[in-house]
Amino acid sequence: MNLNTFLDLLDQYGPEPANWPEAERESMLALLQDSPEAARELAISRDIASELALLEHSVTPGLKGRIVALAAAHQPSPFDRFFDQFLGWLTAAFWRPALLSVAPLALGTLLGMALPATSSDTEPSLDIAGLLLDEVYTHYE
Amino acid sequence: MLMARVQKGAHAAFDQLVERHLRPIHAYSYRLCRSRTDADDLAQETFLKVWQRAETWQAGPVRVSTWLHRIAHNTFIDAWRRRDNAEPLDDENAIDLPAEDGAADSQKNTAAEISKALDTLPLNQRTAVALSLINGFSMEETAVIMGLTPHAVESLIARARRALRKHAEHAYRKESQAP
Repeated sequence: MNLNTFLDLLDQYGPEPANWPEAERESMLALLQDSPEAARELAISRDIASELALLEHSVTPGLKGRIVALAAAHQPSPFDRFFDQFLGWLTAAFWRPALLSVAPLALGTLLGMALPATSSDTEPSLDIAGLLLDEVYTHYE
Repeated sequence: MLMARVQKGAHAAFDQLVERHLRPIHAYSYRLCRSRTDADDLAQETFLKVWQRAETWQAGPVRVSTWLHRIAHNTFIDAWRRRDNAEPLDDENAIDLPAEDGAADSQKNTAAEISKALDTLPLNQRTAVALSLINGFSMEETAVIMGLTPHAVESLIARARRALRKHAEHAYRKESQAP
């Protein structure tokens, strides 16, 4: 394994050997023994990972109170609640397979209703064929 | 179940929900906006949406925190798309940018240094890092929040790790050259 492949895998799987792909782990660990550059990059990656995990964040003072007060002033209307409840029920995991299986049937029914009946399609065609044949017979007679 | 009580319009439950999730949502908002004022607004809008649309929440495989982060993410993306001079979502050219001069002046690769380096990443990479490496979501959860495939998230994180590593390397080099 060369350094570039090692760095690609390091970026992909992170600095913890336990997360490295099993097929590559031994080669990566062997390279770490031989290459000070690889060891240095691993140390940098470890530093970054631990710093990221420890990044502290403080919430703006008073923000929680503002949010709660705003929510109290914006009570959802009963219609919104009913609509969202209905939407939630409609998209619930239990109904999804049922809706999916009914969808082709509904589509077929809609198409069937939208298209003209087959019999009325064929009858005029036969009439036209008959008229054409009549014209041909008349011509040869 | 806290969310079930929020769905029934219980103010005390909503108060508890905000108490429990405000810090990670605000931290995530700050990573997206890179401004405390904008992060305040985004967190506020997110929780207001949660309160008003609580009925759309369904108990299931998705955790409440994942659902909240997804709402924050979508709210941010909607606002971001409306902006005229929005930063690129994922600027490939930004990956190999060296550390800023201000960053190199620092004596140690501190958390502040990492935080500054994180802010130089393109939006999509920054988002993936904030969710997965800072807020501790799995690749799958991060993918759900960002509306991407887990494979796309893995790729974003790999590119972000590379950029952060190069940034740190650059800072170390400057540090070792300093008198």
